[in-house]
Amino acid sequence: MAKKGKNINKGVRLYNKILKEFTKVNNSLPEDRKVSLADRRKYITEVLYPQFKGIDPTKVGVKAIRKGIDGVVSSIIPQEGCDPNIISPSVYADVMWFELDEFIRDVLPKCIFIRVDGDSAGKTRIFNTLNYDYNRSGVRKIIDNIRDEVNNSSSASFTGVKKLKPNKANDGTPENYFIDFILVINSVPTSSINPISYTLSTTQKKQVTSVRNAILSRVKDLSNKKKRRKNARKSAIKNIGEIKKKNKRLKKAKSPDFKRRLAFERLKEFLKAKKQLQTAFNRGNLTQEQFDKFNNELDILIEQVKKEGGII
Amino acid sequence: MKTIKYVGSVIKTQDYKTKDKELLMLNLIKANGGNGYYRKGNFSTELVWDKKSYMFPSDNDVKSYTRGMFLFGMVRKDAKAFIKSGKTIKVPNKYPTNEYNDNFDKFGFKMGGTDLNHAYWRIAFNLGIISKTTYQKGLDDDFKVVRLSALSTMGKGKDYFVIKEGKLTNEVVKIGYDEDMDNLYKAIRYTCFKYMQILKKMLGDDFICYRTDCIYYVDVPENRKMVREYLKEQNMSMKQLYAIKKTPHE
Repeated sequence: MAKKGKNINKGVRLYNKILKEFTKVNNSLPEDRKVSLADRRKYITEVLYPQFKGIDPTKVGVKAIRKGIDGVVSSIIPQEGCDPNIISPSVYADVMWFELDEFIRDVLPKCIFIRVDGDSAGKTRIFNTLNYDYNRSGVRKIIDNIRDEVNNSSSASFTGVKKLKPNKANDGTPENYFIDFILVINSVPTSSINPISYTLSTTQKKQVTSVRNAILSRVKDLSNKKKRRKNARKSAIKNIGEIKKKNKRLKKAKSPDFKRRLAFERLKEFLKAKKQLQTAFNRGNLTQEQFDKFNNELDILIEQVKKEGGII
Repeated sequence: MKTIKYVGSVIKTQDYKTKDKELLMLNLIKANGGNGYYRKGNFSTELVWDKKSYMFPSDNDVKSYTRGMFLFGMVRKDAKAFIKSGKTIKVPNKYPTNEYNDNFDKFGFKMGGTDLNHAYWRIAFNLGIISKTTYQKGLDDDFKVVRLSALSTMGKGKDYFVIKEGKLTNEVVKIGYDEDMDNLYKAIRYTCFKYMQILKKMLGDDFICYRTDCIYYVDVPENRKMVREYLKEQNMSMKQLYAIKKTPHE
């Protein structure tokens, strides 16, 4: 019987060998220099793999791979704010339950340890935001439970509390701390909000401002993104409403000239609505589901007009 | 009192929260030993914590207030553009807000009055401080409080109590004071009082009193006409108040 793995393509074996080495190197790196699995794969595909492409994996030495990896790692700019001690608590003081996913993904630095504690809705393990995944990290399960519990209202939120990992010393080592996101229902936290305190050094104090400003600008970006999404939904609804209004007026209109003018205006509205819908979807301001819903509504209206013998 | 002119140096982002979150946020800043600023206003309470501002609207007329929030931005934008364009307004002399004719002795006459419609708002528009669009948007009756607030707060700055290491102190800081903008509001108010003073002189002995933007006088057709024509000349909108008979106090 053939040995397991014997048939694996040489290229795949080489890729896996590089990935294995990269993971080893990555684990020994400080938090602010660590690379996520997705990024490691990207670097291998773009930089490392082409260096050894075509060579038998058994003939590619670990030393050579490590040299390549070191080159890649040294080119990566260390991330800012990988120490929960230098992140101002004001930025994570109140996060709505339905915004938590985006907050972890887009606002928090991708190198800190956090935990989501949803009380009766469930609790995640302490995990690093570097490899955060809504499903795999267990956040989705908690959010779904909260959604049911609060009946989709905004009475629940999360507040971050800086804590020390079990059996770790309060000595300022960034890896020893994590931010615990505690569930708050009707403005009452479900557990203690007292954080662990640690006196920052002068150098760390200097970092606080730049880290806070970087995070706050990401908060601003996120709120702008939300506004754009809301506006996209609003304009889609408004555009459809305008077309419906024009349809009603057309049915009531008697003068042929007026009818023609209204039909032309309706055509313009259709084109505008379709164009805006497509642009909003392309820019990521509408989800596929929303886009399909609005697009279907427009298509139904178009079909109606066609049936009635209108210009479209 | 310490003054911080540029708001952006203290507040980077603003977030609106429900009123019930106020206590939680105060507890959080206390637990974390944070630094910030705190103020309680008529319409909202604000907590600034490490450059992040949390606004908690109060229960008073919040709906019309929040609906008209856009006016604040529009007024400030217009006023800033006005200052930037290099246009200047001479701030008129300061006259009293209310004045009474202590020598009035024409009892038995009917008393009439003329009230300026949205006086400060109209003067701001006439002086060119706010644009036509802003003026028209603010005319909605629901926005009376908001448009007055928008004018009175431009350049004023806000007084905040300082929070040091999680503790609320008695120290007060003024944030966002702008003298040029503040002078524009003075110019608006004093122009209104100037009109009242001129009308007072024109009415002579028939003048009874004025209160901010409403003048009372002996109600005869000549006086009504005189007041109306003067205010029309100033491009002001007004309404005539019904007449009541003036009798001496017993």
